[in-house]
This record gives sequence, structure tokens and C-alpha cells, in this order.
Amino acid sequence: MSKYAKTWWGQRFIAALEGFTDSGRLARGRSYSTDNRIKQWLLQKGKVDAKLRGNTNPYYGVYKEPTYKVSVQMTHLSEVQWQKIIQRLSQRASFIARLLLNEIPENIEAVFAEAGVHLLPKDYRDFKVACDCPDYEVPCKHIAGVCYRLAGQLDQNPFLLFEMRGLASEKLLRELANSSLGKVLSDAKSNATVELMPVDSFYTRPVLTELPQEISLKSFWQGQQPLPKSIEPSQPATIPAMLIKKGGDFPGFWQKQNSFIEVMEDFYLRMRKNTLKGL
Amino acid sequence: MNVIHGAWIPKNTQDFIQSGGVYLWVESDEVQDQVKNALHPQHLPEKPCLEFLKSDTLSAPISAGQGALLSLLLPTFEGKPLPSPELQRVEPDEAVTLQNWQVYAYPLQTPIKAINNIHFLCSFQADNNSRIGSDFLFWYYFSQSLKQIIAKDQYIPLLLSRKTGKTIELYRRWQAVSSHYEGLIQAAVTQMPVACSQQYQPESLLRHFAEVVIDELLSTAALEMPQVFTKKVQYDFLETILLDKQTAEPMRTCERLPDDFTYWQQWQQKLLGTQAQSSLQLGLQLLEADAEAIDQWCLIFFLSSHKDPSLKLDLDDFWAHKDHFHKMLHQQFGQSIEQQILVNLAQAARIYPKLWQGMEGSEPDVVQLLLDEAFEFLKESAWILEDAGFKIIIPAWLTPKGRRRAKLRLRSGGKAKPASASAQAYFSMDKLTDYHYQLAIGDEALSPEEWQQLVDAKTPLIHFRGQWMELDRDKMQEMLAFIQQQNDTVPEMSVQELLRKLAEEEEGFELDVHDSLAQMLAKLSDSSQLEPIANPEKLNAQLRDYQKRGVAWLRYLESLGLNGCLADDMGLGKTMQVISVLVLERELTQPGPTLLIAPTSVIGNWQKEIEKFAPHLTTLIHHGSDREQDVKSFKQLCLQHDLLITSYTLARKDSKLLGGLQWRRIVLDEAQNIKNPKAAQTKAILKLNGDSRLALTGTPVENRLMDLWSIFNFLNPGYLGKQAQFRKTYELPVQRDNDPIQSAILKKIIQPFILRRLKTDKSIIKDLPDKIENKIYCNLSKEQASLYEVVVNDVVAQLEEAEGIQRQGLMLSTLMKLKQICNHPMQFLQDGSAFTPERSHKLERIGEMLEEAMERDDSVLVFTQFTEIGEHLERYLAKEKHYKIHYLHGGTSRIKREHMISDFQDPETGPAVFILSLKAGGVGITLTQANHVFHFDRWWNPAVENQATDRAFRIGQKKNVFVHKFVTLGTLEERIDQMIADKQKMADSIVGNDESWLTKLDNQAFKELIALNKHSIMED
Repeated sequence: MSKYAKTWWGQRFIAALEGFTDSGRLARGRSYSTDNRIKQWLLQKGKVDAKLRGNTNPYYGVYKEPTYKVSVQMTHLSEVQWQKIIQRLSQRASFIARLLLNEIPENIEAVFAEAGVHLLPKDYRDFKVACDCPDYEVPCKHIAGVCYRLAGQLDQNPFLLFEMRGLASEKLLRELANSSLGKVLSDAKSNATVELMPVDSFYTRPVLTELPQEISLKSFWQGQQPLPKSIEPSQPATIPAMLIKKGGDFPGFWQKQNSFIEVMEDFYLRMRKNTLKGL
Repeated sequence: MNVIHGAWIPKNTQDFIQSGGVYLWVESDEVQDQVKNALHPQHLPEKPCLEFLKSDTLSAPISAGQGALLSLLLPTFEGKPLPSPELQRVEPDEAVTLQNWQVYAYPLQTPIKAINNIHFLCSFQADNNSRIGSDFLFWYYFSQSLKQIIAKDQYIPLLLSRKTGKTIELYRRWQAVSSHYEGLIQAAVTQMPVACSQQYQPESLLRHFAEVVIDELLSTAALEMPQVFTKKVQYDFLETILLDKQTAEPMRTCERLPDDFTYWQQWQQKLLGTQAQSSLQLGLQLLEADAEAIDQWCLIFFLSSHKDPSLKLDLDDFWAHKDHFHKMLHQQFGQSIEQQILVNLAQAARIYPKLWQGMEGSEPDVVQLLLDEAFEFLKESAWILEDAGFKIIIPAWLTPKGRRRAKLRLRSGGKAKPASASAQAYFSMDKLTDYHYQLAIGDEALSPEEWQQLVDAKTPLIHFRGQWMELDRDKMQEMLAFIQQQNDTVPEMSVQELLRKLAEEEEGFELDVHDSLAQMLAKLSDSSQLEPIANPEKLNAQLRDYQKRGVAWLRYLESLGLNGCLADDMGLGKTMQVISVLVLERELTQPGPTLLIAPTSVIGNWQKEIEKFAPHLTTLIHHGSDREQDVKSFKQLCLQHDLLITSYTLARKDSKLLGGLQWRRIVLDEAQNIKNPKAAQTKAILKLNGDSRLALTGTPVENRLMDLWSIFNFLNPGYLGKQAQFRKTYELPVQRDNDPIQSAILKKIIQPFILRRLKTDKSIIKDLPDKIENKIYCNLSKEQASLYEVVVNDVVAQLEEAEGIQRQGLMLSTLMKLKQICNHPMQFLQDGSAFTPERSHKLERIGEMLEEAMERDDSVLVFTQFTEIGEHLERYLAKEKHYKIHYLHGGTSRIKREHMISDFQDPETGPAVFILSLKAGGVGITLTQANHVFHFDRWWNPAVENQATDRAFRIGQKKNVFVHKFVTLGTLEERIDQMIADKQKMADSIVGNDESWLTKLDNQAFKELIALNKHSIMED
């Protein structure tokens, strides 16, 4: 079972990889997916070109740490095939809705199957890989490393998978815009991410203001509106962590295998208990 | 008395992290004359403040070393800070300025909890001589409203960055996030007084408060995660996000945002982004299947709006006329309606995956459900979805309210015999022994076999006699077993046990509505179901309809062996109803004596009213040093009378005497006098023996539940359980924690025993004339009596010699002197002596009645002819009772006068007492806000008295008004009152605008008029 992708599609990606190599190389491959090893990473138009740091190997006369160039890409679907597929996708609200939430629907392969293709890789024939290290096996641990990292990125951005399969984002959005449902998705996708703005103070700073010289007693002791007559008792929400759930199960920083949302639910439930002392 | 003030004080720093604290300071009403520096002359300084706040009655979580001097803006007048409205309710003439005053204050730990506790202790605990200030009250409402944020998990760990030169510092703050939170802030801004915002902009201070308090609360809580949780996040970045111990230090300092933090920020943006809420709300409506096609349920998707809950647009309609609806809804929801619909659907489907099936097409509108699935939806998913913000509509009969339930139904009598609903069929029922149970669903009774069939059915929802319903099989099985057991031998159950069972087990237990038992209860709960009595023959008065119903209720209660509390509003005639009960019970039988315990100030009133309305009843007043003290003779004496009246003090002192016989009934007037269960007075009264017990009170007992408990402890001991148990089960949950369930149960339990009508009840208003006149009879105190006698003797001597104008003058001045004596010795003596209620029962009584009125939020007018009385009354009521007072007299400026009147008339300002003289009226004073009018002393010319009040003050134009006129028994007040009442005789003689008609009496008549009836003197 793979440890480096959490979404079902990320895991399928890895599974395909595991399908055609032995576990030894694979294990070493995992350690090559880290920042430590990957010195350069260029992902463009669905193709990864990376430079990895290799090992010295005096036995083979390798005395200096070498840098290996790795490229990974997947076979593309044809334009006609993509057109058909997108047309079908944009007629099912369930698909569009899942994609809006940045998830790939589980039964998406059914739509691809109708066009006689598949989205996720099944075996090595779906990949085109290259590495200039001396290891003759394919995939070598360097390629494996790049794939693991790729799988992690797929978790975050499932549309990357479409790109790797030959459908550029702009094209996707254009095609989607042809149907009303698809348009919904394309409109949503064109929102940019925002920078983290620095703040002046940790809490909202209380701001001084001018008070009138003279004041009526009434407005000193009472606000403009009367206070409520009573307080509604606070009912705990049945579903914990509702807010967090809206953010999805795979935030980028979460490295563990179990469900992030489950952990957060646990956290919030415990917080309810822990805060009782102060409430 | 102390007033507790609360302030939110931001820390005096411009550092990046500027926190703050809730500080408490205390204001006392003990005047200190000097103003030193800028120290508030009436605040409790360091040590007394600490002592007071840490005392048992408050136990505020503060520490000795942390107090500090705060500088606060307070309204100032003539160089002194004005007392808070809780201490003194007098409007100053000029406008006030705000000045800084220093007070000693302590910061509060665990502020949200502590504020709630202090509020509870001050508002609902009987012995507290402390009030909370309106500033504290504001912080109370705001801080408690934040609890909802925590309960609904509406907060996230917020990543903050700060630029310091070339580096950035990263911090985490726990932040409340939701449209609900924003709503709270906006509402609070409008409710925030300047006392709280001081010199800050209100919203900024509110956010500061909320942010500091929430962050501190949640950071502390997060640090207390047990190992079993910390293991789950160990070595993951999440551990940093959630559990980093931040104490004024940044989590990380760096030049560029590291990857992990970038992920955090992206995740955060997703969460905050989804908060950009439009008000669009997705809803699901369950449509039930027909009985023949049980697996054809469906769930329809529809659109609604958080802002406009009345909107309901089925999605199939929406898709069918997309463009039209787009235009219509564009205002409310913006452009991206389909996107919002889909996102909402997806989020709902995440919670309830069945919904995906309804989204296979491009225009999702409905999902089909099988019976089992419909049941599951009803049981769980629907409520989870609702809680998550989706709107759920289910058929009414499947909602908790509309559901037909399986219940055990109680029928009295061994066989099912139809009981007649005759009102005359009173029967004693203090113990139910003859009853049995039936199984029922909704209105239908079922045989055990039918019941068993239902229990055995496989489906969770069944179609039973026309409707779908859900069955709780286990419960039904239990009920079946219970019945089979029960119907052989039934245990005894008292009526009180029955009432409690009905209130507490509402879910599974009910009474057969056709049963006489149920009807009895219905009558107890709703007095309009009782047949009102006919006007008692021997009563010299015509009872109003509601009074007839009240008497019927009292008699019915007694016939059932139950004891109750008559809690009608002041002025509705509780005395009259009790007298009627006494009269009625003597129509056919000759019962033993009733004992009436009342405050001294009303004893005279009872006596006088009985004399007037039921003179055939024999009354004995047990009071004064010459009262009967021998046990045997006392008993004898009592048995010869219908009614014995005594005071609360004597109920304690003479408890042995009073305990010597079995009374027909014991009545407590102003029953709040036994609110303290530990007082010797209360204990003594509880030991008395009576066939029935009755409590009368005008104050709303539900404000202080322990008072209620004490009264019930007298009426039906044990019904509300032991005091400590009551506190735990009801007082704290209802009054401190606002628990709606316990509150409802308590209401149900006490309802059959309390009859309260308010003068604002629709059913009462039609029975009442616009203006209801009420005489309040008081007695002279010993001091007053001796002064009175001296004056009378003096005049009598001089009267014979005087003639003409001199004679007239003498008579008028005598009348004046005697009036003053009847008011208060101090007014007559003019010696600056104490204006206290001990010296005048009139003052005592008006104090008590004003208290009742104020507690019910009723505004009141008090008329007096004497400016000395006006002044002293104002001072007394303001200082001792802390009521809001307006006093209008000849010297009041026009501006001030208008200000007073508009303040009094403003419905928002709360109850107030308006003191004025009849002559100060004239045109243009409208005081229609008053519910009660008191004539402290009388102007003995009906034309002036009545017309001036009605016309000048337009009393009775907007609502019913009670006019109370004080009459001192045994004096000229009583006699003149009688004369005026006998209008026929006097109509011609009373002319003009003054009292000179009285000087037309001849000497003999005048002497009789002013003579003192020594029997009417009441010592304390």
C-alpha cells in the first residue's frame, strides 16, 4: 500500500507505478521524492523535467555526486477523445459538483471507458519516462521518486492529471464553457489565489474615537438598541468541524495517511470538552 | 447596596500583541463627602473591593495582587461622578459631561464563566444586596453569546504574518469565523453603551474583546489535549498548527514563507473563501409514499435563503425556467447561482451520499428513496443536514411535535365507564387507587394483541390507520410488559405524583381525555373551564367575572385536597375573592375558623373590607399588647369567630397559641414574607395545622425560584422536592443555564397550583372598567394616635367659643393638622425627625405597594397636597428603594417639567414613580404611562379629586388604571370618606373647589367627624 498519496486518484497513480516494478527499487524511490534529492523541478504542459541528486559509487568510478536528469510524462488522449469526454462530463451534475470541490469523482473512468480510453494509468504503457542514470531498470529509483512527488501534487490539483493526459487548462475551460453546467466549473476555476497579507497587530486594535463633550445619561448607560431579553442556550452542533469539512480532506501540509477530517473532528470534540472549564 | 461594574480594558501598549482583560470595580451607595484627586468618591478601594468580590456570595475568580487603578470616563455633575442608575434614579437638570475618574479594579480570570456566575448570583439569589451595572450587563450578553461559536466549532487556527524589516514572523491565533459571528458583532455594536466603549470605537473594542477572550480560551484548551490525541498529530505539521505553545513569541521567523506554511495559508483561504456567503440555502423536502407503494418516497431539492426563509423554489422549476429565475434571484444570490447550487449539493452529498444518485443528470432535482432509506433519513441524516445549515422539510406528522406517539394512557376506574362532565361532580381525589392503564397511539386505544402486531412488524415506518408513523419498538415492548404486569395490582398514586409524572414523562404517558381525571386537570390548568360561581348572596358587592372564576378555582382546589397560590396582579381583588370563599362555605355548613396571616400594614384593610362586604362574618384581630395570650381562652375565642387575623411577627411569637388548634384553612397574605425557608417566622408557620392552605401574592415569584420553592413548601410540602435537589434540578438549569427543557417541565408542574391573572390579560380587560377605584385602609401608629388625640382635645375645647370666620379658620386648620398627622408624624411635628415607615403605616403600605408595582414594571403616580410629603417621599423612595422618581411641584421649571414628563411617558425607560400635587396639573400634562395612581392624602372635594386626575392627566384613556386611595381607619379620613361615598346626601352641599363645605357642619357633627376611634390603633 502506498504511503505518499492520500486521494484515491493519487494512490491509483502510485499503484500503476507499483504494478510494473519490484518493491526494492520502489522503496528506494520513495526516498528520492524529497527536497533533499530533487534539486530542480519543472512541470510544464503535463510533463515533468527534474534534476535529481544521485549517489557517489566508487565501485563504478563515480566519485562526485552526480546530477541526473529525469523526465516523466503520460501518453496523451486525442483532442477528439477529450471533446467527447468533456461533453459527457459536463452533463452530469454530480461530476461537475465534485470537480468544483477539487475532487475527481470515483466513477469518472466510466465516462472515459465509453470513449475507449482510461484516465488513470493502468500500467507502464501509459507512461513515457527517461533518466540518465546508469541503472538499466525502468523505472529506476529516480523516476520513482519523481512519480511519488507527482502523486502528491495530484492530490492537491486533480486537474493536473488532465493536463498530463494532454488537456491543457485553457482548453479544458474552453470546452467546458460550451455547456451550461460546464460553464459553472470553468467560471469557478478562473479564480486566483491570494497572498498572505501581513498585519499590524495580533488582535484587532481598539481604535480611539472622539466623544461628544456633553452626553445624555441615557445614552451613556444604554446602547441604541435594547439588550436581548434572554440568552438562548448554546446547542452543540451535531456534526463536529463543519467548517473544516468545507476545506476538504487533503490540505497540503497533512502528511499522514489517515483522514485529516477525522483527526480534526476528534480535535474539535475534545476542544468542546476542554473549554467547559472556561465556559 | 453595591453595584458591580465591568469594563474591558485593553493593555496599555502598542506592541504587536496587545491583549486585555475584564476588570471589575464596585460602586457603593454610602456617600463619602470628599473628592480626592480623581478618585471616585463612591468606589470600593483595594481591600474592601477584594473582600466583597471574593466573599461567598460572589466568589469571583480574582487574585489579590493583580488589582490596579483604572481611569474611566463617567458622567459627572458639579464635580462629582453621578451615581449609577441602579443606585439613584433622579434625572439631574443640566446635561452631564464625561470626566475621568479613578477606580480600583481587579481582572477576572476565565471571564466568560465568571461573568455568567456573577450575573446569576446577583439576579437570582435572594439575599444579595448587590446589583449589576448596565455596563456589566452588556458584557454579560455579549460574552455569553460567544458560547455558541465554541459549541458549533465555528473557529479556525488563523495564520498571521508580521513584517519586521527583511524577515517575517508567523503567528497563530484562534479566530471565530462565521456569518453568525459577524451577526453577533453587528448586533452588539448597536447595543453597546458608551459606558462600555468609553473612548474607543465600539466595533474595534468588541472585536478586540472577542478575539482576546476566544484566543485565550482556545489556546488553553488546546494545550490540554491528552496523549491519545497528540499521538495522532505527532511529527506532522498539524501539530504545530494546533498545539504550538505560543506565548507572545512567533511560531517561526524566516525570510520567505516556508512550504508548510504556504499550504496552511492555502487551506485557510479555502475555509475563509467559502465564508463569502451568499444567503443561498439548499433544502430537501421529503414526500411520503402512498400506503400501496411503500417504497416510493422521494426527496425533492429546493432553494431557500438564509435571509428570507419564506423563499422556496423547487429545483425542477428552477431548471425549467432558468433565465427567468436568474433575473429574479440575481439580486439575492449574485451571478453564480448554479455554482452555488452545485457546491451546496456536493457538500450535502458528502454528508448524505445517497444524494449523488439524484445528480446523475445535468439538472438535479430529486432523489428516490425506499422505505428503509426514508426511515434512516428521518432518524439521522435529516438532522445532521439540518444542523449543517441545510433546510429540511418533512411531513408534519413525522416531526417531533406532530408525531403520534405510542403512549400509556391512564384511565381511572376499573372499567371504561364514561364519566359525566358535570361541574357539580366534585369528588375528593387526593389518592388515586382505582385506575388502570391502556395502550394508545394518537387518539386510538389498542388491544395488547394489536400492539404486539405492531411491535412485531418488520418495517421501521408503518402506515397505521391512515398515516405513516415511526415506532419505537423497544419502548412499545416495555409498555406492553408494563401493562401486563400492572393491571393486576396498581400502586397508590397521589394527585401530586400524577401531576409530576405527566410533566416529566410527557413522551410516553398521558391521560385519557374523556376521563374525569383529565377533566379535573384541565380545569386546574385553565380556570376558564370551571363554571364560575354565582354572586354570593350574602356578599355586599358584585364580583367581576374573573373574580367569580377565581373563587370557583379556589373552591375546586380545596375540594380536591390541593393547596394553591392566588397570584393576581395588584388591584384585581384578591382580598375580595378570599372573602367570597369564606362567605360561600358558610352558606350550607358551619366550618371552623380560618387563620389569616398578613403584614401589619394590611390588617386594617382586611378588617375594613370584611366589615363592608361581609359584615356577618365575625373577625378577631390578634394584635397589640392586650391580645389574648392564654392558650385555652384563645382557643375558645377562636372557635367563636369565622376569621382570625394576625401578623407575621406574631405568627412567630405566638406560635404556641396558634398551634393549639386545627384551622379550617391557613391563608398567607403577601406570601413572599415566607420566602426564606430558614427564618424562624417561616418555620413557625410551617408547623401550623390547617385543613387547607392558601397563599396570596402579587409579586412574580417565578423571578426567584427559591422563593417559589419556599411558598410551595408551605402549600404542598415535598411536591418540589428538597431544597438542594430543587436547586440542582431546576434553579440552576433554568436561571443560570437557560435550559429550555427543565424550564418547561417546571412550568407544567407548578401550573395547576397557581392562578395568576394580569390586568393586561385580554380576558380580564373586558371585565374591568377603565378606572378601578380601590380604598386602602390603614391604621394609625401609637405615636400618630397620641398626637391626634391632643389636637382633637385642643379643638374641642376651643370650638365652643369660636364664631364666624374665626370658627371657620379653626376648623380648616384642624382639618389640616389632622391630615398631616395621618400622613406622618414628622410632617406635623416639623422637627426634622426620621421619615420612616415605622412611624406611619400609610408610608409602610405605600412602600410595599410601590415595590409590587415596580417589580411588575408598572409605572405609578402618587398624589399628595403637601410639598413636604412630596419631598420626603421622593428622598425616601430614591434612597431606600432605589426607584426612578420624578417629583413635580410648583417650583419646577418648565423645561425640567417637560423633560420629566417625556421621560416618564417613554415606554423604553422602565418603571418610574411620578410624585405630584393635584394642583400642579393644569393643561398639558399627559401621564398615560401610569398603571396605578395613589392618593397618599385626599382632597375632600370629589370634583377636584376625580375630575382633575381624569382630565388633567388623562388617566384611563389608554389602558386600565387602578386608583388607590388611602384612608386611615378610626380617623376623620374614614368618616369623610364615608360621607362622600353617600353621595346622595352630600351632592348638594359639596360645591366649589375646596373643602370649605366641611366647615358648614355644626359643632356636634364636626366633633363626631374628628373623633378618634381608639380601637383602630395598630401597634407594631
